[in-house]
Amino acid sequence: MSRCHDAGAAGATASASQPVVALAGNPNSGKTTLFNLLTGSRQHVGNWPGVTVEQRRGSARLPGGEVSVVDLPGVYSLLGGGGPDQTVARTFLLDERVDLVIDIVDASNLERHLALTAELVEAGRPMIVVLNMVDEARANGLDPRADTLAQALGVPVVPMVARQGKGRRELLAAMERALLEAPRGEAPAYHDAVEEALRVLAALLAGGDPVRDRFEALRLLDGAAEPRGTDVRQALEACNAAVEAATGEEAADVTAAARFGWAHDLASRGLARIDTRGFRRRLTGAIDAVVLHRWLGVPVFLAVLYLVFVGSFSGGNILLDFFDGASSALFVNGLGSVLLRVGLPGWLVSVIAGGAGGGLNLVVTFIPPIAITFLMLAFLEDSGYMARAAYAMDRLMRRLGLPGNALVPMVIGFGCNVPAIMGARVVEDRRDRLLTVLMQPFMSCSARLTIYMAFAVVFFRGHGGQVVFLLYLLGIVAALLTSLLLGRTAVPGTPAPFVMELPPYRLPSLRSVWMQSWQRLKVFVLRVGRVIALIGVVLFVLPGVGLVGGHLHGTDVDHSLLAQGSRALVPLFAPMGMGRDDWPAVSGLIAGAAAKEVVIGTLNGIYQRRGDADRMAAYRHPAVGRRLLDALRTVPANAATFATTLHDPLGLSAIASAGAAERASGADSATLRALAADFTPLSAFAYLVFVLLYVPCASTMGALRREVGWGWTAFSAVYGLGMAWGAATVVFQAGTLAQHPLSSLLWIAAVALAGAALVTALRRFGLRRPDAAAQPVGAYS
Amino acid sequence: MSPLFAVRDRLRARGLTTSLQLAAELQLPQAVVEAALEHFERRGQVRPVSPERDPGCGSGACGSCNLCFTAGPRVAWFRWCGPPDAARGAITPPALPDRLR
Repeated sequence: MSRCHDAGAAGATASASQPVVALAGNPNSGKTTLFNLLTGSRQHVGNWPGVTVEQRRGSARLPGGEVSVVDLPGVYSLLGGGGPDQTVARTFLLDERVDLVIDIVDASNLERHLALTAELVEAGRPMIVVLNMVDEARANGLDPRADTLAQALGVPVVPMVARQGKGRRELLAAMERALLEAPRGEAPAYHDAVEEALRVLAALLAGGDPVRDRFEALRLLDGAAEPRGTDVRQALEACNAAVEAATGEEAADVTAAARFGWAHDLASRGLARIDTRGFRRRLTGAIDAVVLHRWLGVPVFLAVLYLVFVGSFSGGNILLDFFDGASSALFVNGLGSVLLRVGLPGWLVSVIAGGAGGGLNLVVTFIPPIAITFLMLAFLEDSGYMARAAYAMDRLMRRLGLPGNALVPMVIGFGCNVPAIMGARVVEDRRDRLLTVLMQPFMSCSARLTIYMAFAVVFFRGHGGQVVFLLYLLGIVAALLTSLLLGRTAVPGTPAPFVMELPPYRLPSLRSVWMQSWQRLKVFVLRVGRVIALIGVVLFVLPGVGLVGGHLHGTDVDHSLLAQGSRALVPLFAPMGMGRDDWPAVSGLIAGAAAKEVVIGTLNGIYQRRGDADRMAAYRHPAVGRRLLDALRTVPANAATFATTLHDPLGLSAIASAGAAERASGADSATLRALAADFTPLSAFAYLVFVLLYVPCASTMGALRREVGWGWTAFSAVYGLGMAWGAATVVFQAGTLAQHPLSSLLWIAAVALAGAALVTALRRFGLRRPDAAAQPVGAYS
Repeated sequence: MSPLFAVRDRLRARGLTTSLQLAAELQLPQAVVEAALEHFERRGQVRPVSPERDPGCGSGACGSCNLCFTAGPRVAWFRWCGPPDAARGAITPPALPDRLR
């Protein structure tokens, strides 16, 4: 390739007798690709005179001889706008000698690119339209129809894929003919008043070229050029007034609207939708008629969500006992046995096998239902339903001050609140995102599931699944109420409109579903497992150490530091049904502030110590093989009950023995017996409500701080704690109203008063912000 | 109706929205909507709203978290600042920016 960096030299290479072909088009329409295709190595590079805009010229061989080809900078409009590069292109196209304009339009973005075509036709240059990137248009479901477009435009249209050289021969032939025939297209039709104004102004300009004068008149009407001379100015004012009187719109808008309409009409005719999926489209329409229905959409979503949990728990129960038994045999008994054999002291073996191993056992036990939950959610996402669920929920969500896509992180929150908070980034508007983030801690994450299960098997054996589902619903309600409350008080504003492209329904790819689920499960096991193992060790040690005579000593669990600290806090929980002896439950809540998954682990550790279980005997005689075999035997038995437990997702009603209940909950029989002794069903439910709503776990707090800052994180923790205490108190007091009506009513009234005070404080916070009332949607501060 | 007026009328009704939203509602290519918005922006009737200019969330941790400037996709918002009703006789076209002269 010969290159010359001198504009004069570049210009001199084109013979004055050679026809000049200009390549014009919007930026990124493929001009330079086409230029290279036409000129090959016969091109020169320099600068346009007076500006540092690159000028590329070359020559192309046509059957009738060579032509000079000029690659112009991309330009959106001949009327005005853009930087010096666009001015160069505009000036060249309007005022230089050009024998043929090749207007390159992107077929996949045809309507936008035809706006320039309209102006090129107005400019009266002979032209060809190259419909470039037809392959991309087809990939987007559009079928470019060059012949229809050519007929409508009145100039040749050549479909091409310039990048691959497709259509080059046809273009050269079209260029040859066009240089002889000088085809000029049909310009947009304007309103009569505009036509009259153009005629009047063009006559006044009288530059010698009627077409050029008309174009200049159009620029004046469009407001893209300043009138020169008093007579032109006065005529322009009169013309503008006349157009406005005739059309009701300003002339600049009328002329532009005509070009937009012209391009829209041409694009509609020049592009056909490829409908190769008629059946699928009909099927999509039929399914959407139900799942996006105004009234059915939300119930359908709730039903789908219920089925996800039923499927997860019932299906998960098939393997849950196996995972529990096998992991207990390996991580607790087997590990303890190995550690004893290598000569570690008994206390260390207990800490490692009982604390860390027991924690791992707890995590592994819940892998089956959680993995199935992730699989089902991934299936729904890949099938295209989740996007529709968000759409269906949009109406409800907007009433609560949120866009529909806030639902997406909420659903993720059923797995874990941390990715849900990160997932709130899908919400574009900052106010909406803040509300979405603050809702997430109330979504029942999978870690809370372990607590629900343990209590469900003890207290709600007949209706365990429904109780768990109720807790999930309660979490959703608390999240939505939080959004409603904050959206109308502390962070007022209107939810930004929600736009979501609904993907087509498709059969999910197994690989994709598996990969998504595996990634989530891996995060769950690694993150949760690490936390439980570490905290398990700490909580195994803490109940064995107490303050005696001002010094730390080994002591029994009831006199440990943990017991002393927890007992001091028990009175705070008295209104929600906890007695002085329920301090292990308080310990569980304290530990749960670090990670919800350790609440049951803590209870387990404490109750086991209380029950004086002889773990060392199990380490000395681990019977790993027998335990693994026993675990394996549970699989067919549980599979047989799977089909009968759809009404009871946890399969609790099918659990007849304490041993089966113990395995299903992940807690041992001592824990379950102690729970049964310490709680009533009502206080247990109140406790579960508290667990559901109270402070987010440490990881969630970290994610909150990262996403919304310390201030809102602190608010979230305090607000959650208050809401949990209030809700649990109301549940317990309402349930015991008949026993002590006066005190119950007083407690409920106190909660209501505290709620009212909170609303007032939040409202004052919202009003205190000087710019709160003037906040635009989408720019919340 | 010309897409230009369709965009204008919808934006005028909403007051503030994004090109993506307008494109979805009007079933128009987003590029066409943006071209229409540019037209009205040149005419001084549409103003782009830059979220970057707005302060933080008011939590007292301004600028220290993702809520402010780093999270979420950049979305251009447009505010209608022309006349609320039909434009007839209601506005005076503003002076063109230098770059358009």
